[in-house]
Amino acid sequence: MLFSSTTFLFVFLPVILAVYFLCPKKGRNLVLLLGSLVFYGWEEPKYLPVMLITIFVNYILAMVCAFCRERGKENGAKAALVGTVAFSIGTLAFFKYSNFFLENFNTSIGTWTGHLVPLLELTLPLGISFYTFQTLSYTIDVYQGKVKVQKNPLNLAAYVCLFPQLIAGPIVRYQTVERELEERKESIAQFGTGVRRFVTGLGKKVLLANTAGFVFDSIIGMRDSQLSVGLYWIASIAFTFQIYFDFSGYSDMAIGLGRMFGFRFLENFNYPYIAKSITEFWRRWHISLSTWFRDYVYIPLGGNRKGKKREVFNLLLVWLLTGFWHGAAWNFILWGLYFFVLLMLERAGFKKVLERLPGWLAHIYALFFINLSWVIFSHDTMQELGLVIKRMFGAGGIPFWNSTSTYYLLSYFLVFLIMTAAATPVPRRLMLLWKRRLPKGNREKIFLAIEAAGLILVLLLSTGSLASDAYNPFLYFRF
Amino acid sequence: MRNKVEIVLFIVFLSLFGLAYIIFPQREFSEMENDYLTLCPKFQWKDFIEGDFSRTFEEYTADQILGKDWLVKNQVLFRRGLGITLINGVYIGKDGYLIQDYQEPEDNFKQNLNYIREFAVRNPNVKMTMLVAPNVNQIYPELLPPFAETYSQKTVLEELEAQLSGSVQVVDVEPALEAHREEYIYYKTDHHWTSLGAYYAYAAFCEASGLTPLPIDKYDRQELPEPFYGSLYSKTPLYGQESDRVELFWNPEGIYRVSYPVAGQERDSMFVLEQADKKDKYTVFFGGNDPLVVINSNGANPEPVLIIKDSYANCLVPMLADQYREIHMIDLRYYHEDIDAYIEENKIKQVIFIHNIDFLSTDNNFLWLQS
Repeated sequence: MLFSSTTFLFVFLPVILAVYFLCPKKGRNLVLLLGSLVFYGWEEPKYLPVMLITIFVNYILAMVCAFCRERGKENGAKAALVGTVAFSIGTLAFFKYSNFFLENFNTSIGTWTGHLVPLLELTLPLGISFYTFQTLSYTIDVYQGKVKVQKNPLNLAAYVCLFPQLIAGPIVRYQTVERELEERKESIAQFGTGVRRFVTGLGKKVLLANTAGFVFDSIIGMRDSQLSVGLYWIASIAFTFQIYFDFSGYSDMAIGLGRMFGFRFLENFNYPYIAKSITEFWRRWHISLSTWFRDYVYIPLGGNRKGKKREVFNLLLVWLLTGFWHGAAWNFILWGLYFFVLLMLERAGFKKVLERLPGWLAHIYALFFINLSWVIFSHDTMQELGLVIKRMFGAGGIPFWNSTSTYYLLSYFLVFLIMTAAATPVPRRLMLLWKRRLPKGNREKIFLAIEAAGLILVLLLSTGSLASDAYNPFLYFRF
Repeated sequence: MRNKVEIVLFIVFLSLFGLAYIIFPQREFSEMENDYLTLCPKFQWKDFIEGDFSRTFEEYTADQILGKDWLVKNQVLFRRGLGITLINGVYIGKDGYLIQDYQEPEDNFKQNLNYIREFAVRNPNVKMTMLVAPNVNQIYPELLPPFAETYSQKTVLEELEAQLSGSVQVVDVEPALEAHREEYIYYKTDHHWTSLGAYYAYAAFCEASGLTPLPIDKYDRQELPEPFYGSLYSKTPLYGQESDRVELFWNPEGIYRVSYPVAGQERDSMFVLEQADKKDKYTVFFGGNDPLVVINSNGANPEPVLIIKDSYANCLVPMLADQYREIHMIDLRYYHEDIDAYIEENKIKQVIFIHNIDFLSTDNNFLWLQS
């Protein structure tokens, strides 16, 4: 069930909120756990056991790990950790990557030896990439003594399944919510913040990301006779907007929902498109993922403490994995490598050059390469990617610009302008500035009236957009 | 204060739409969408495990949402306000015209022509004619929003003529429509031509086939009393949209017997006036699309004619019925029996295809022409 669906907004959410707040404090984790299981099982009842087994294995092995630690049995603790990592990575590899490996085996060694392995045709269990990383972080933290072992399986399960962050992140680490799992204070202030955050995220996802997605899909689906180099660039910019508003909108909704239930998740995005270098971009984009790789792969491998060569190798590995984490296809690996190369160049001294450039020029540099990275990201077969890149750079035998290009640019000019503003902190700052200029006596009241109107407007427009998606007029009489 | 107000608004908003599912009865059919809506599914473990229950339930909550038509109308207004003029596949054109998008046809256009040619080759003793109707974007490209472009239907027509040459005689009615472009020949809110547009096409068709069309002043022309908001309006409902009028061309001397063998009905007119009260007033012609309609009249030409058609034909065939005494009209979307056998059984001497170019380019029911 997506947050941006009528079922979630008007059935699941009101029901879970009512049950949760009517329930006495002691039972609330159980309510959250059961609600989350319904939420997850709603989409993928088949894969519910996979998640439950993952939780169970991590629960047991973390206990073993802590037990051995207490008795000073280092080897036992290490064995438990290795077991967890092997299990988690194994499960993820099996469900997410086995087809990729089999396909590549078939097209390389398979064609050579004439022996083809049938594909496994597994559907990817929902959210597996996220919850695997969460359970891993828990057990590794227990091993490293950063968190206490969770003795109550319900609490651990409630953490992993917690529906706000279950299927699209952010990757909430156990240490972030450790204390809140045991005792947390829901409050009106927290709930109010949560509501504003959730509605902001809903608007970003439904009104901005879906509109941008429509532009991208329309252009990519066009016949050759309609296409131009310019349209491909418009499509790539649309995708750049789509992925940001989609993902950060989803994170906003997750953080907002967490707040309603008394959890404080860490921020996942910090205006990534205002970055002036790729290094800065990655400090602002999907923070929970990049810090995860930093803390659980890069640093354990020695980070930058074991010499230059090892550092480069560690970074290469981290970026290959980051790419591969996003999907089991070559374009994602390429996408990770692309960032590795850019980041290495910036480290090697290009960053110093950037710092001396005027801000807007550094900004254009960063946006150009970010935009190009999303082109690699958005086409998941190499032939298609090759074709699109060729066409974007004028080698595809399509006109540079045509009437349809002008039409799309004009049609979505205002939309793109709004999205550009929404991707920066400017609207927020303007709002605060403007608030200060309101007459002192009624300042809060006027501001509240406008904010409340905005809230309702976003809710109504988002609902309208969801209704429109389900609105399919039939051109012909139906029998 | 701020938190309390906003929390209450949020909760009220969610509960309002949530409770509406329980309080209000479900709508089975949407006049506005001209389609059936998804109803609340019954819970069954088997469906749930396979994910069918969840899918249907999500369709149900989206389809039955409180004030759906109103929400959609405001959504269109919102998008229009942002400057978007292609909404749900419909251009918001100039002069109050809603115009369906048309782009270069994909492979099934060629496939459709193949089916038609093979069909013609299989029936060498039957005269094959095709009346091809251009769509509004072809006659009035200047009504599209600035810089919007649709694919040239002239190019498509040329390809069609080349592919069918020697097997089917193609009658291009575009020049006739072009000559009357100042008149009301296409609806503004519907994807069809008006009865007047159909009349000019009919006249051009008669001339190309060596028949004498009934002069336009011989008809009693009658407008339906209620305004018509057609299929394109259903897709893209705009506030303040100009409405259309549906006109009926009555031939005072015509005598008809119209039978619907599949439904076992018979009427004495091709105009089904009860439909004039429905939202989709275009269904006043024959009551909408039917798999098979047989029309007997006092027309001059006694040879039985088979018309294979889409809905563009519905307002044109009443005029052809004054030429041919026996017309069999088949809609391939709903008629899936052997056409070759039908021709033999009913001693058909001529087949007339009546289709609009968009339909020929996108429909995939011509495969039913195969033997």
